This record gives sequence, C-alpha cells and structure tokens, in this order.
Amino acid sequence: MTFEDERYEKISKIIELVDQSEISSIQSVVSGVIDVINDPQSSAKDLKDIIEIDPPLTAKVLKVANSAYYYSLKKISEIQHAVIWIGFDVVKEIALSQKVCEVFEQDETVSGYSGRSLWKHSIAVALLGKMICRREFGERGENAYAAGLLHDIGIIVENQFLEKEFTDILHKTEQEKINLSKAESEVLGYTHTDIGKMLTEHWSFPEELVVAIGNHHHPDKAPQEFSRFASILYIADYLCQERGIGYSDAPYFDPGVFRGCLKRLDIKAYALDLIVNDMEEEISKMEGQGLFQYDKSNK
Amino acid sequence: MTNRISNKRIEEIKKENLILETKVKHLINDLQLTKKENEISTKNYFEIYSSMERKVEERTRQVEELQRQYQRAQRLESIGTLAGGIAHNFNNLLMGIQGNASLMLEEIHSGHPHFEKLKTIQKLVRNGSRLTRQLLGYAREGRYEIKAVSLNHLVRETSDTFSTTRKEIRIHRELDDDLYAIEADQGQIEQVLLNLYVNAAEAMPQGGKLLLKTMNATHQDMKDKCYKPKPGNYVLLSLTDTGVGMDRRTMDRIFEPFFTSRGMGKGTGLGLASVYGTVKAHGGYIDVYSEKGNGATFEIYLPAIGMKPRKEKSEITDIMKGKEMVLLVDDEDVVADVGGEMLRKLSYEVLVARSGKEAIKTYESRWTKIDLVILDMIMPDMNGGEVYDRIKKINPHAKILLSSGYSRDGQAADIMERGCDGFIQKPFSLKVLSESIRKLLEKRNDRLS
Repeated sequence: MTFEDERYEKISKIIELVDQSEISSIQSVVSGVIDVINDPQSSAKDLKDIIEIDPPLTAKVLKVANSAYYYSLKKISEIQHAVIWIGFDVVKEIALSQKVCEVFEQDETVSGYSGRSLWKHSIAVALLGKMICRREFGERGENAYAAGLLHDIGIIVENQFLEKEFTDILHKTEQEKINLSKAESEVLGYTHTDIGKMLTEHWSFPEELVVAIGNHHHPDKAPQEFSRFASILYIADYLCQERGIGYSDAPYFDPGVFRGCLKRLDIKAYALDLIVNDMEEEISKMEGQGLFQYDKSNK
Repeated sequence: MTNRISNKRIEEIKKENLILETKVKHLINDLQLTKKENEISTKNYFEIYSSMERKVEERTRQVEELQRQYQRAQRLESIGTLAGGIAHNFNNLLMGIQGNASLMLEEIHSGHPHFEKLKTIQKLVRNGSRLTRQLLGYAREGRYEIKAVSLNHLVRETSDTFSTTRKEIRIHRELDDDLYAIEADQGQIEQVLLNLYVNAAEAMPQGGKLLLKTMNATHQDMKDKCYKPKPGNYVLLSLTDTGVGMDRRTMDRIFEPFFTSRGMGKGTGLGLASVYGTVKAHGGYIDVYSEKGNGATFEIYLPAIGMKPRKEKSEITDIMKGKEMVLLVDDEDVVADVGGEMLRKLSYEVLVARSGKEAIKTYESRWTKIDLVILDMIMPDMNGGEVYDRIKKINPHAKILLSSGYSRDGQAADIMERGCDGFIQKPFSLKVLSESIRKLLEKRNDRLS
C-alpha cells in the first residue's frame, strides 16, 4: 500500500464517522444552497424550499435578516419576504453561514483553539474572499463566500473525531512554534486540508470548491483552471491571519506564496489593504449586532 | 531643495491618486453588482406580487360565486315556503272533493248517469294532487316512505318507460354495477328522474341523445364545488343531453318554481323545482352544467348507504273494512266531515275531534276503546306533535296514523322519527285509507300475538 493509499484509507474511515454525526446534517442544506448559487436558472423559490424544510435554520435566518445589520425596514416573518426586502443573494449568504455555524458551535475549547475563534476566522475569510471578487473583478463571489466558510472544516472534523490526536497537534504547534499543517502531517500523516477536500468531494460539492478547500495552503498546486479561485481563497485566509482575526492555523507566514498569488491575480497590495479595512469594519459591525453569539443555552 | 520637496510631493500625490483610483474602481464594481442584485430582487418582488394578486382575484371570484349561490338558495327557500303554504290549503280542498266523490261512488252503480263524471272528478283530483306533490317536493317536504333502493333499478325502469313514449330520443345507459344503495322515497326519486327526462326531451325537440350514468363517489370528489358536502359516500347520477343548452342567466334560475325558458303554457315550470326540492330533502346535491347550443348535464349526488336494496312485496289492492274504533282528529271541517264518513263507509266506529284539545279529552275518557287515531299535523290550537306526545303519554301502545297535506317545518318527519306508526298523505282515497288502516292495525296484532 502506497503512502497515498494509506492516507486515503485513513481519511475515508473518518468520513464514515462524519456521515453518522451532526456534521453531516448540514450537508443537504449547504449543498442545496451551493446548487442554487451555481445554477443560473434557480429562483428565490428554490432557496425558500431549501431553507424552510429546516425550521431552526428558518428561525435563525429570519433573526439575522431582522437584525439592524441588514437595515430591514419591515418585520420579516417569512423567507419569501426576506428575499424581497434584503435580497436573494443576502439570504443565500445568511442561510449558508447559519447552517455551517451549527457545526462550529459544537466544538470545545482546546489549548488556543475554539470553535468560536475558528468561526470568526472562517466568516472573515468568507467575507473577504467575496469582497475581493466583487471589488477587484466585478464578480458576485458567492462561491468564494462558501469556500471561506468551509475551508477549515477539516479542523472541526479533527477536533470531533480525533480528539486525542488533535490535542497533541495543538500542543506541538505551541511547543515547537510550527504551523498547524506541519504538526498535523507529523502526527496524522495528513492535514485538515486533505480532510476538507475529501469531505466536500464526498458531499458532491462543485469541483472549484473542492479544489480550493483542498489547496488553501498551496494554491500553486491547484490545477490551472482553478488556480485563480484557489489563490483568492489563499489571499483571504492569509490576510485574515495577518490581521489576527479569529483563529490562526498558520501564524508563520510564507510571503513567497502570497506574492505569487498577487501576481497571478494582478492585484496590488494597497488595493487589498482597502478591502481588508472595509471587511474588518463589517466584522466589527456584525459583532456589534451579536451575530457571532453562540446560543448554546438554547440548544 | 525645493525640487526635491516637490518631487516627493508629486510622488505622494501620485500614490494618493492611485488609491483613489482603486477606491473608485471598487465602488463602481460593487455598485454595478448591487444594481444587478436589485434588479433580481425587483423581479422576485413582482413575481411574488403578481402571484398574490392572482390568488386574491381567484378568492374574490370564489366569494362572489358563493354569494350568488347563497342568494339563489335564499330565493328558492322563500319561494318554497310560499309554495308549501299553497299546497297545504289546496290539499285540504282536494281532500274534501276526493272524499265526497269516493262516498258518492260507493253509493251508486256503474250504470248510473253520474258514475263516469264522478270517476272524472276523482281523476282530476289525482292530477291536482300530483301538482301539489310536486310543489311539496319543491318545498322539501313529504319525504316519508324511506327505504333502501337501487338507483340503477329506478333509472332502468323509468328510462325504459320514457323511451317508449319518446322514440326520437335515444337513451344510453352507463350504470355502475357495484353502485351503492341509497335511502330514499322511491316514488319521489322516480318523479325526479322523469322530470329530468322530460326536461331533456324538451331541450331536444328534434330528437337527440340522452346519456345516463351512475357511479359511486365520495365527498372528496365534490371538493371543487361551491357547496360543502357532508362527508361520506355518495351515488352520482349524471344526465347529459345533446339539446339546445342554456345560458348562465337561465342556469341561475332553472330550479325556481314557475320559471320556464320555454314560454308560458308549455309545462308547469314545476318539474325542475321539484327535482331540486326532492334532491335537497334526500340530503343530496344537484349541479347543472351547460352552454348555449351545447347541451346540458345535470349531476345529482345522493347519500349512499352500505346496504343492498330490498325487494318490496306488492301491495294489496282491495278495499278492506274493519270494525275497530277510530278517532279522527282534524281541524278542517271539510276533512273531518268527509273523513268521518269515509271511515264509517269502511264500517269503522268513528269518533271525530276538531281540535287538539278535543282530541286529548276524547282520548283520555275513551282510550281503552279506541284502536286507532288518525291525526292531522297542523292545527291552530295544538299541533300534531304535541297531541301525539300527549296520547302516547296516556297510552304508550296507542296506534297513530299521521295525516297531512303538508307540514311546513318537517313536524311529520320529526314524529315519524320518534317512532310513529304510519303516514297518510292528503288527499287520500277510500282505497288508500283502508290500506293504511289495515296495515297499521294488523301490525299491532302481529306484535301482540
């Protein structure tokens, strides 16, 4: 058995466990929303149907839609109204983030890591990725948003199904002052990006997302057709860690890869600075609205 | 020195310019996307708005249709009350004529010069009473002889009879062999069928096709109708003709008594009105579908029962006499007089009471001798129901035959349900009276033996 095969076997076993766990419960809604994003024929009704079969999600979406963050003028009590008053795209985003958030909420705090801090990081990457797409390229950036939310899902899986190893890995990063991926490779023989790639592949997500999540530490290794998208995710991830927003799995940066990405995308550093500033403002606004609060007591 | 400063300043301005340019680029991109998103939202908004509008229109139409139906039902109801009242008085008159004619006939031989004239009077009374029966049918009354019957059987018999009289109309039947039985008054349902055939025939003066279909249905099959059917099984009879059809205005009024689209003098205008009344009295529903020039379909739903229809024994036809004592209660002098005489003719011992109070008084003092009470339903001082209860209180085994021309509020049906023994519809002939009395008295004997 080759090293590759062995790694594949190991991760497959974990994915089997994931399939029977709470994490898999997000799959149908998340892939449903991603399908809506990627299907130009889809309508607000499709989105409404996906959200409404999940009553807790519906409640959460409506709660967020009614928060001051979205300036809704009218009390929104139906997904359909939310689509009208705050927009189809915004509702997609809320549905996606609220659903993905469910699995982050379950994570316990382990030396320096918590579900909450990883969630803050993920939503910042999602927001930043989307903003880069919109402002620099005039694209809607909805997949970048989804990729940002889910890029570190492998860490969640490790924390829940490889509890002991994950604690060891976190200790190792602290003691040896190394990035998470390096410690993961040493302890497990694979990293959270491998888990993320296989899991999203298993969930039949669009290839663009699978590749970007699998290569979010090595965008240069992504196939040509997806390298642009993988680079955007990398840049967003990199900048959020540089600014110290939420959890950081790679505090020891590699400016070489980053510069390569900037070149590939033809983006100027000062342009990114402008975007990151706005993103940070958004994040603090969201925090002000209590949108990061975990309602553990309500569960 | 100045040069260096201005060079530096130029650099700074250039850099600021670059940042501003980037900001402008970002804003333009973002605005364009937001504009697109707004367009989509607007589109969504109008889609939802127009679908809501359609829903409102649809509901409004439904409400209007229901209001129309309600008004129609109310109109039919008030005309029904009027028709019933007329029928009541008319029947009492007919009773007098019928009774007197019967008595005269008993006293003369067939060779008597007045014999044929008296027979004609009796025939005319029968025709008159058929007219009042139709009116009563319309007034939703007179549903008393209820038994399980097979609608298929009735349809076959009546349509066979009908087709012999109207050869130019070809009748097709598609009858469901597994049809449920219905609980109905056979005579009234036959009348309904005949009225509908006649109506169809009149719509096809040049001849045509009449399709008769029966099938089982449930209230769920009727959920698209304007009315709300009672849950349960139904039997559906549909009649489709290839006649001239009718417009909406005609359809709206077709079940009103004396309404006719075929000109005065042709028909009574009571046929479909009595169909409507009878169907309603049987707890059924009737719909009509038609277009001018395209024939018409009548659909009748009658409540089904889970019972197989029973074959009826044929009736005894001779006049039967008896010696028992009968108390006849009727406030109408004409009925009391002629009724009393008819009973005496049948050899009964007769007591006559002309009011409820008088009836109770008589019964109280002589109840051990009285074998049978013939009781009118509607009397000014005390109604039939009350008299019935009082008599039953004196003697729970009292045999009571209800007689009525018409009962406006269904009192007769009420009392029948409480276990009354028989009912006789005014006007009645000597023969019918004798049969009703014997049937009742012999039933008692059966029970006692």
